[in-house]
Amino acid sequence: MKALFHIQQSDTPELKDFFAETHPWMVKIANKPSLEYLLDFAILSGCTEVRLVMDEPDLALRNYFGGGERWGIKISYASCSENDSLDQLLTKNTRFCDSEPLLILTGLFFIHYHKDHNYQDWQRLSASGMMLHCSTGTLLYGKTGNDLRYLSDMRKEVDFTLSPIRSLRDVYDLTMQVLTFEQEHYVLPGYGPEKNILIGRNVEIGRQVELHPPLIIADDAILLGKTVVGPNAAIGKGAIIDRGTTISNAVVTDHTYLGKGLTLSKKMVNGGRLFSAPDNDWLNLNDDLFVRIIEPQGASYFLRSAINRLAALLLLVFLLPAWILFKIATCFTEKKNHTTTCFKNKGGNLFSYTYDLPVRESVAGRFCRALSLNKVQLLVKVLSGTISLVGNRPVPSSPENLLLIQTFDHYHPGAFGYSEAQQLTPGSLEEETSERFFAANRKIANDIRTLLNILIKNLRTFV
Amino acid sequence: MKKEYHKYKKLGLIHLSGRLDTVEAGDLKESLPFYLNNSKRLLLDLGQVSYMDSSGLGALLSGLKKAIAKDGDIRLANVRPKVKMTLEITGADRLFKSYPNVAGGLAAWSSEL
Repeated sequence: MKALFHIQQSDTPELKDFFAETHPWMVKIANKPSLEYLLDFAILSGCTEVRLVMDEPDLALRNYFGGGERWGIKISYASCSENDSLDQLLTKNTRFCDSEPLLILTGLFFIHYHKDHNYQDWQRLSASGMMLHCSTGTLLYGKTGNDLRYLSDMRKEVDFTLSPIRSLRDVYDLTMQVLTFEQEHYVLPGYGPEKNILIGRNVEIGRQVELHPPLIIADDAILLGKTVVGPNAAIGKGAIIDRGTTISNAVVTDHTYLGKGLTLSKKMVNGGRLFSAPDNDWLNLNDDLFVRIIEPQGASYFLRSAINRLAALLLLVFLLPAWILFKIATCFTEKKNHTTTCFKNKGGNLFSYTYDLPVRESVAGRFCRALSLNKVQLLVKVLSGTISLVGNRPVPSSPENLLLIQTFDHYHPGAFGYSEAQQLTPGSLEEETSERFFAANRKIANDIRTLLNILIKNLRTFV
Repeated sequence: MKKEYHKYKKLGLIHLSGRLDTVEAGDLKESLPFYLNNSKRLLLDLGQVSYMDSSGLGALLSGLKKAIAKDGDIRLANVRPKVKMTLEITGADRLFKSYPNVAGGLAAWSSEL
């Protein structure tokens, strides 16, 4: 038997907002993607070949499921239009659908089954063209793909049920239900040192950490000292729970940092986003001290950081004698002297630097800018790791700008700005487009080119 | 962030609106001691506050500390779910007494005095 899974991302707007770049099928229920439960069920029902049909392709999903080798089946992928009907879906996948009995799972839902039960017979005993549905999806069975064009409700009693996944509350409730009552029903990731405790690989557990079942902790999670996890807690892959934090009846998704001494109860956290189950409301908090996403910091991050600091140090060594001489020579000239506070990151954290140089229009001011002496204060910030050597033009702190940077996905301020190299007018649409483009496509070679461009351009302005 | 101060018998009532974040928290932190000089018991109406982060919470806690030092208190009214979440995860909901609405808060607190 074959199975065809079909989803349209537009059906799940709330999930899309909260889980951002995660495909709805990759949203995890008790640390396992929702699609994997469906896949397990299809395999238990005798499927050997599965086709995933999506309106928007997803790389993370493809990387996770691949060709299905991990499950011992064959997985293929196909695309569909946003409003494809079942008929159109069958027509577009005629070759896949027509040869043998077919199971179609369309929409986003969860199947409650038991891994030890036998699901090989229910479809054989069913009449062709039967379906079972919930408010967000339908399960269809046909002895041939053509039978599925004439459907009727399934009357036979079956040993599984469907639950809708439409809202964050559904994801939260299902996770709690699986953890509390159905942990034995599914193959969940991790090993169990005790009943109802599942722990993944490479999990670090600090001193005096309390674990209260039922709970599940995914690979690479870190629990620092005195944290209390459970009952009813799911901790995602690579999550970090800081000291003294208590998590019960709560979900912490992959790569999420949870700050010190917090109490997370009846909530779900994804990166900087916080969902409260009793209030059925969510908030984009993204606060370094409370909750935030853990940005992947691989070898390239450390290499970039080291190059940034080294280059900043070299520039400082080169500029410092000129800067000191300049300060002595211009101690009696008219100067701008003010402190600027700018946003350090998307989360709204701030950094300040003092501007203490002759006014731009004077000869001294022009000379100072030609040698980039106006960057000395910022270069010190690069050395301390606060900003990059080359990055976005630092955005001054204000309520309007906070809203701007919250939608600025890769904002990272630098001593030398991308748009500065292109001589774009500050505040213009071209500047914003350029800043966003370069920030999203950062490369070390580009950064070096931008830096040299600015240094040469500054020198030329004086000549 | 907008602030409107009203005196209600022995209580001070401040209507706050906007976001209590890194940008605005400093202003509130500086102004709370002035309001506490007028009235050591302050009821903050957070009905129009849409967001509060660690800086905003820091400003409220700093005010509460100063109020307690004067034998006063700061209480909250009309807290929206998004702000309540920040109070809950930090345990600050146990430090600030809160009321579902301003009228109820003023009446209940006045009757305690």
